[in-house]
Amino acid sequence: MNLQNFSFETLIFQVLNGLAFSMLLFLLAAGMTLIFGLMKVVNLAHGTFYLLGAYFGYSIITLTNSFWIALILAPVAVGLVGLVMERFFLRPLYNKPHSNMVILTLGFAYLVGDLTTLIWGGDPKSIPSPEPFHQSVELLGRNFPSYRLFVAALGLLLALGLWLLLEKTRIGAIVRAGVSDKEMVRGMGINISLVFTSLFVFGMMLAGLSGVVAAPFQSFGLGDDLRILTYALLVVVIGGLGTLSGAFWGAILIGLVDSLGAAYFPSIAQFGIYIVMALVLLVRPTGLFNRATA
Amino acid sequence: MAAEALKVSNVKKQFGALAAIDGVTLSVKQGERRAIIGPNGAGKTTFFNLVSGALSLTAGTIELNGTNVTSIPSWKRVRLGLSRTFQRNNLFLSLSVYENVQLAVQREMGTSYNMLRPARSFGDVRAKILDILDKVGLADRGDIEVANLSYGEQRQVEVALALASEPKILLLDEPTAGMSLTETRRMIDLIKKLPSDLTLMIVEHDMEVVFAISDYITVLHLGQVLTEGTPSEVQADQRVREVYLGEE
Amino acid sequence: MSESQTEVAVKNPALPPQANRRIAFKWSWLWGGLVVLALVIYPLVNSADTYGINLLTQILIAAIFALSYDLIFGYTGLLSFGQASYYGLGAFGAGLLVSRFEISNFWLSLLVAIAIASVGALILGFFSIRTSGVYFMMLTLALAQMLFSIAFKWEFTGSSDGVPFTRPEFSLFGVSLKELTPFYFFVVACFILCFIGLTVVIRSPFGQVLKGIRDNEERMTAVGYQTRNFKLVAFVLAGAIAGLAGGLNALFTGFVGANSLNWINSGAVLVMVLLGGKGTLVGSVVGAFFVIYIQSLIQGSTIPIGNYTLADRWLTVLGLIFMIFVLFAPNGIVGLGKSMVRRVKEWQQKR
Repeated sequence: MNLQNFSFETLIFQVLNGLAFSMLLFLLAAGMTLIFGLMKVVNLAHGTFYLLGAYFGYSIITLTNSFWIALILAPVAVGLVGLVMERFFLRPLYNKPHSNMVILTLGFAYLVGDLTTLIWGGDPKSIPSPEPFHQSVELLGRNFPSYRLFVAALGLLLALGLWLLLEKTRIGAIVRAGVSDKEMVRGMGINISLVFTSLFVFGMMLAGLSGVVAAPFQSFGLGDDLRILTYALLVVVIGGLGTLSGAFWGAILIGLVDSLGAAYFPSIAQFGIYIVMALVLLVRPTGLFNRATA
Repeated sequence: MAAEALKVSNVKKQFGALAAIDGVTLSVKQGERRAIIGPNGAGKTTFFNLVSGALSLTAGTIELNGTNVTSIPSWKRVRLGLSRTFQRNNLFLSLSVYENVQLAVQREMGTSYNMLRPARSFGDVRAKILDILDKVGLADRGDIEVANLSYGEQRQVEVALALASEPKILLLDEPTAGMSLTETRRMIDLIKKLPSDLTLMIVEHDMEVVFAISDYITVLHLGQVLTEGTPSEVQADQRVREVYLGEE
Repeated sequence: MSESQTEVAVKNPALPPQANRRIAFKWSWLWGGLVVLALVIYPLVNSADTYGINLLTQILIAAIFALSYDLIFGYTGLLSFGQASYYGLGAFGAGLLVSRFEISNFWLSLLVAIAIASVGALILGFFSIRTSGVYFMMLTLALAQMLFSIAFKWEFTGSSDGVPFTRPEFSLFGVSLKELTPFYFFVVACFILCFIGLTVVIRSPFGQVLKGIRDNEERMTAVGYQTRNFKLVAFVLAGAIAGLAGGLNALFTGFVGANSLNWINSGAVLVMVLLGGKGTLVGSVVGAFFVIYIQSLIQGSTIPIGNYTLADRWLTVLGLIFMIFVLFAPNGIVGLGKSMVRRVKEWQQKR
């Protein structure tokens, strides 16, 4: 254990670091959990869409020199890829066993992941922090990258926005109804296939967004699609699939464990998240926030 | 006085705010033919799911032949002699009729963990499967994949599967639902021929079937027992008529 | 009671003639015999073709791996994304025994490979089989990823570089199996043993239970099965066989590395079973043959694609095979063959 320079300040520092990562994970897990809720499918290409977001962001910044344009355009581009995937690959499988769709997403992850290497090369890339967050702010006597504060704040804002969207709007009501009873939604005269497509594209846009947002503080490259997918899977396994609050608290837990583990237990930092998962699963096999039992 | 095969005390099942079963108490004697009737939404199938263990109770107790099974999982209840059929055919579609029944028989005979001998080489298992197939009238359909059977024949496989576990109590959930007239007649015959010490509990919509088979009837309405009695008593009961008429 | 039963059995001319089935059975033995004969004759006729014998060895090891996966995916209906875990555990068990513990014994290495993979499958299976459906899929992938990241970071397991080791000396009937051709024959023997062993298991009552779970787990519970135990036994059995495949591969190549635990390896075995035809042992073998053969073709290719060659794009090809088969032929090559036979028969009947 590495406690030589333990202090309250560094702890806070690490917690803030962890929360920034948590918020990224939440964006990924929220998409995953919403798509699962409606389509009963886990998208194993979710990490790939994150990576696509980062690469698209990288290319757009190279072209336009503006992070903020990339932040808007990259998720849209990722959403278009999601649209293609849903329309042409997932759609023909809706009436087949769900496992076929999951297998398809794995193939998609291989294919698109490998194509990113073909296009951008496998070497790690990164994006500089944008104005006005390219400098550090002084926080409790230490320099803290202001960009991470921005990420944490943005994530919280989006979490709140998602919650409002789902709970307070008509669109949210349709999605929630679709989760519990597809027939009813169809009976209400709503085009459920449009709801599926929109939700899938929306989830992929969230994944792409988190890819762009993460790029300035985590370099990205070959293998990161799987790395991020694993984090997202852990979040939904721990939090429980199908609820936003599960994704939220799961993300907080994993983000904090990962960040604090790296700081204080560097030798076993890799496994902290898995240990947490094993402990949670021993008690609640279907996650902390899942009302259903295994 | 025959022993009580099934005793259900003050059983409740809550789905969110909805009380699907709201305090049902009843007891069924060994060898009895009990029918559970009631209008749609009365909670008949939910009640069956509670008794078989497919759903867990919100409150109350269930006893099988004097054993409290309230918190015992469904697969163990089968081993205590409780067997059921499903309202919608619920079978092993890629397997043959013979293999469907085989699954239940080999479980009952305890050969299921054997990995070394061909499943069809167990003589006693085979004899029992053939016996059951003969009883339900599927003797010549054994090699056919269940997915290729007619609907009515699939209902017969349902019954065969339930019988194969050597039940003491058999729950039949709408055994004639969706059947043609001839198929229904055949099913009634089949049920009538079941051994007299076997306790039967039947959910059924078709009153003709109910009166042909049952010797005692429980009427459920809105998750509660409206009344109980012999077929003629129930037939004469004004409240039962109101419940049914009110529905239609 | 038994009297009346035999009577019944006599009365029903015992579930119409199984003659059909028996003939089909004999045909399959004939075909199997021919394949085995070809496998045995090939190196005797083409003893100079080391490339071909090498490739055949790889195919057979992959086939053993695919057979293990078919048991849980094709026959039990458990879609696991972590079968590489047990292949990798077997490989590391066999390899590390030689390289790190300096015990150079072939048989012990194989035994350790199978044992470690089985224990691994028991522990990870315990966690994953408590859940079902999509949770099971996610957990198998996450747990496999855990093993991969351990192996990738740990010096003991060679981290990202892997561990080369000297292949242990061993001989059978006075022939050193370190040579390519004798080793190949040993792999052929292991393959036949696994194939026959799994055939027996699948025809047994236990195999019937697995099929029942695949078809309708809820109904299995309703006829009195505690399905979880059966699934766990199948999972461990599949893990043991995957461990054998991994161990054989390590002893064949004299190398173990974290990549054997990779999700691409799990995906490759899934593709083999899917491409060949899930739920048929022959299908997994056919799938293993095609996947490894295609892989070898691509790896030797120099067709340029952008800054790379086709040889670097194996994952793209794998992804494409995945998607094509899931979308257009979910029952694989064997399934396609069966439906073609059915069509020909229908056509004949019409005439």
